[in-house]
Amino acid sequence: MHTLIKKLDTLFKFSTVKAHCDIPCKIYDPSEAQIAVLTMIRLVDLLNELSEKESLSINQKAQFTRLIMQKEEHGLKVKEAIRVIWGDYFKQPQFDQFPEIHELSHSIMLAASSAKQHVDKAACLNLLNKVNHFAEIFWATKGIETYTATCPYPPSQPVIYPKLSV
Amino acid sequence: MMLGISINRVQGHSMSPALPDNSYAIFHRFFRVQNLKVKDVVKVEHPKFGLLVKRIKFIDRNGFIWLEGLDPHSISSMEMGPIKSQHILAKLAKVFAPVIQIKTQLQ
Repeated sequence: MHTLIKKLDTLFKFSTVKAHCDIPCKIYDPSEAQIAVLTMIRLVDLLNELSEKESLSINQKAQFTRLIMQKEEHGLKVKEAIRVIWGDYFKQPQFDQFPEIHELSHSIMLAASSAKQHVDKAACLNLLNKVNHFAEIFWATKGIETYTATCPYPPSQPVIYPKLSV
Repeated sequence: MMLGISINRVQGHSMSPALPDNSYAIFHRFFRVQNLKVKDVVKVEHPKFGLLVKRIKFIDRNGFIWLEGLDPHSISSMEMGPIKSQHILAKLAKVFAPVIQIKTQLQ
């Protein structure tokens, strides 16, 4: 029915009633967490490339250390971004709409820890799957449809994006 | 507006989740001002904010109507201030919200 009325709207141009918030509205976006997970996956790929070498030069050892440090840092970014959206944005109406968000957010914390503890691509992909699911729920609470596309840069993994075009 | 019925597109999140952003609201004018009550969702021609959809928070003893949003970030009742009943244009009859289905599966 909504789709039908939307089509009528394109013909008859219904006027808009505003249900607006204090300006500016708070800004929340799960893309921060998604990009942080993609970074972790890319770092694991680079670490695996290094692990295939028989011995490491001093520069390669420095790069190894840097990659590990960055993976740690981005794991924390995932946790922080999800915690802020879950803790500050989600409120009772959104909890009523998606009661599974509590368990999902907690499972993201555990999956991020697991991805931080090991150089394990499967653990990072598991984290991405959960964060994508979180992003889809987040956009659904705003009435915004989403689609899945492969990110146009390494590590070329599926990512949930909001359909923002009119 | 046709035969006392009007359709409007909702813009903004302050009435979410009952009236989410981009939903369509059908309003009617078949109401008596004296029958308006708390929690009625109404279309308002607000002197400061323009055409709004809000919920009636309370009606004071002077007959002024105070409005509220459903979301905590809505502009507050104090900011909107009391309005006269003639600013209430219509009452909400039906909402058609966009249907968003979750497609991803947790593995």
